Amino acid sequence: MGQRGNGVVYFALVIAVIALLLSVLVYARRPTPLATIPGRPPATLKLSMVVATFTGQGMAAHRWYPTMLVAREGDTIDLAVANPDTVNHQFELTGYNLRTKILMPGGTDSLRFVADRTGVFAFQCVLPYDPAKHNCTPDHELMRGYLIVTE
Amino acid sequence: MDGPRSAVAGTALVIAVIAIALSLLTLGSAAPPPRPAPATIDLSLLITSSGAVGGLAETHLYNPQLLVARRGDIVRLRVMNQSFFRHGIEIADYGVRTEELNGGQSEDLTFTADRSGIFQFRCYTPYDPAAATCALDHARMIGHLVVIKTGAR
Repeated sequence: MGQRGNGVVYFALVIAVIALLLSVLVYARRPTPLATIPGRPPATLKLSMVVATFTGQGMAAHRWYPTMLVAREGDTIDLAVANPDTVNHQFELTGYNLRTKILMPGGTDSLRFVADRTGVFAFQCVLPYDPAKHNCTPDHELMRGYLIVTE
Repeated sequence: MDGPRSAVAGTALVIAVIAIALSLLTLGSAAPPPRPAPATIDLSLLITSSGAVGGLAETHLYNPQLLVARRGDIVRLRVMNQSFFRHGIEIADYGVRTEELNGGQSEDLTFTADRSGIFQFRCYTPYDPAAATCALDHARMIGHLVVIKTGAR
């Protein structure tokens, strides 16, 4: 009885040591919280956005150029928007509730804002196609792009 | 009564308690920051050309040339071929491709950007003047999809 009892106790000790080693190993390799990873300080991004027209195969495609903007949370974005097209357009960054004035052919405007929310934000033209008013083009719905704000 | 045996058992108990405490600490700190909700990136991808059709300087470009998504976002592309020649687009690393598109045709590609990295998208129809597929600059018809990691790493 005494001998068997000793065996059980030493077995328990070995198990406990293995458990300790395992937990130390896992604790040492625990994931680092994102907040402790140093990032760059906030920057001011001076960007331009224009209406681009692509023609070919009897189609004229109107798009915002560039289509993708990427910023980090806290960055200031200074966006110069221009309309070299022959009809009116109006730029809206929907998720940030920002829009330019109506841009006549040759018109420009600028938006300056702090990208203080992370996520994917669509931008678009908000002047529906209306040939009588020289507003936008039949492919109005495709004048779309995205601002991605990362942590 | 049985000195060494109690001492060993006591040590085992202390070690076991430390191990449990460390495990609980690890469990507590392991909770990853919440993954942001996936967004849908819904774009047209134009195959455009500039320069004289069939000429040496004819250049084919995509608009946009650069797509960005966060890992987990859904990407929906309406691929439109505005070029004179037949082209097909593929993102080989994601295993998605369009049919071969004649000038003026379009097709929708939808996929989830579930792996981060920088991926090429390119034309997969080799230059063949007899079949009017692609053009002299076939090898340079390359764009990129950048999938960024956000939140949990």
